[in-house]
Amino acid sequence: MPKPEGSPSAIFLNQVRQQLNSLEPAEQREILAELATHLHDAVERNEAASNASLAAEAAAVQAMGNPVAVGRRLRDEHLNVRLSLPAALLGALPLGAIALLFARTDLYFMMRNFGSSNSGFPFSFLLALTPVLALSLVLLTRSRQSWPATLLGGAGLLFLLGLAHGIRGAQYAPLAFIGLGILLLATISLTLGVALRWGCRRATLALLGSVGAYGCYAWLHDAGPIATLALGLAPALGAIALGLIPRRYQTSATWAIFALNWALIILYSHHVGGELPVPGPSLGIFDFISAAFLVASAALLLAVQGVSYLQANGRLALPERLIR
Amino acid sequence: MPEASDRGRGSAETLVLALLRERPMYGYEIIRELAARSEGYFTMEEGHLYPILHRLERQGLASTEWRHVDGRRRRYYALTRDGLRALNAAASDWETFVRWFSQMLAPEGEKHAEA
Repeated sequence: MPKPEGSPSAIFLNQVRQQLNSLEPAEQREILAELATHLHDAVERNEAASNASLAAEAAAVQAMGNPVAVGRRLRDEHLNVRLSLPAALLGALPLGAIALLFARTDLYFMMRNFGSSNSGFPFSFLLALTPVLALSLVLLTRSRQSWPATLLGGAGLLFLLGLAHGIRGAQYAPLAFIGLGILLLATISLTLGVALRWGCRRATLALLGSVGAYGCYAWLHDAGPIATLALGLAPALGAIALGLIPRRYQTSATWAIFALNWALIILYSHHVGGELPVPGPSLGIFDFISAAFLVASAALLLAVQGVSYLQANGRLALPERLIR
Repeated sequence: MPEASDRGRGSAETLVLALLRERPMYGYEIIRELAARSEGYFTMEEGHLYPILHRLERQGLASTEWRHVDGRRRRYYALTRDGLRALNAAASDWETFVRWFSQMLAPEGEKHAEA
């Protein structure tokens, strides 16, 4: 039963709440609910030890310590953002180059001449470097995500090395295919992990992996300038989103990633339908299998994140173990 | 050698992990068990337990689950495998610390005798 507003417990919780304003509302509710339950248990115990109700409550609140100090420590534990400045600069560099090239409207022509033009090569190299650097950002900010990020980063590096050996027209370095294979494997395993309830954070990484896999594949097929630019940005956006927003509730940023992924799916559909030029060789049925897989993984992750978002904002009341 | 403040902070986490090794517990239960088993020696301001618990969860040393018990919704904390490893490492560290600290505090004659 909630305590009256002027009661010692209510005052304590209110003072704690004031320190938690920078956290997500759902996170604040959970923290305060936990503290309220603790106070309730303490008051009951004190009353059982023959204290008068008000004295029991006062004693319970006294035992909790300074509410401002408690609130600040809780806030600091949840605001776990440690963005490394060097990593941020490394991640920003290719993004800046992409923005500059796009402004100059010659990005598409540079990508078409990838490897064959001395002036285009450095910028294209930077574009290819974007996913790797973005994933480094993830590694540096969230150590618990290291193994999927390492896998994706390693695959991105392999892809980069393959590109560095010179992908021109119909000639593809075997290393690029190996990178693509690992990326797809990572995507499949992480998406299965969603089915096994590995949690929304890893599910978001599965989305990142699927976008990365699509990125490799589309690069090989030259899906077009808009898709290429978006693919260069998507892993960076995903990495920044994963690094900067609270670990349990990834909402607006991941919605942006989902929207980006759907835009890529639509572009890819146009590509398969023949509305964009495809100078590279086709991989046959793989074109359609990968598209179907990307749609399915995006739909699954959309569902998972949607449920998480609704749960986080109190619109659903599912058991916690289903959300993990 | 860790600074005294680091050791103090780490000891609270170690004590909590040691309790969770037995069974999953919720916050108030942890406070009661800590005081009961140490006969009142280990106490803390109860509100400050929760930043510790949330840090343990963030570090992957503990997992949490909300449960409805006796008509009340409580958050239970359980030790993970990483938490058990961390606990064992901390216990070993403490044993070493206590051994050498005792050695340093022992009167000169006893030290030579032990050597």
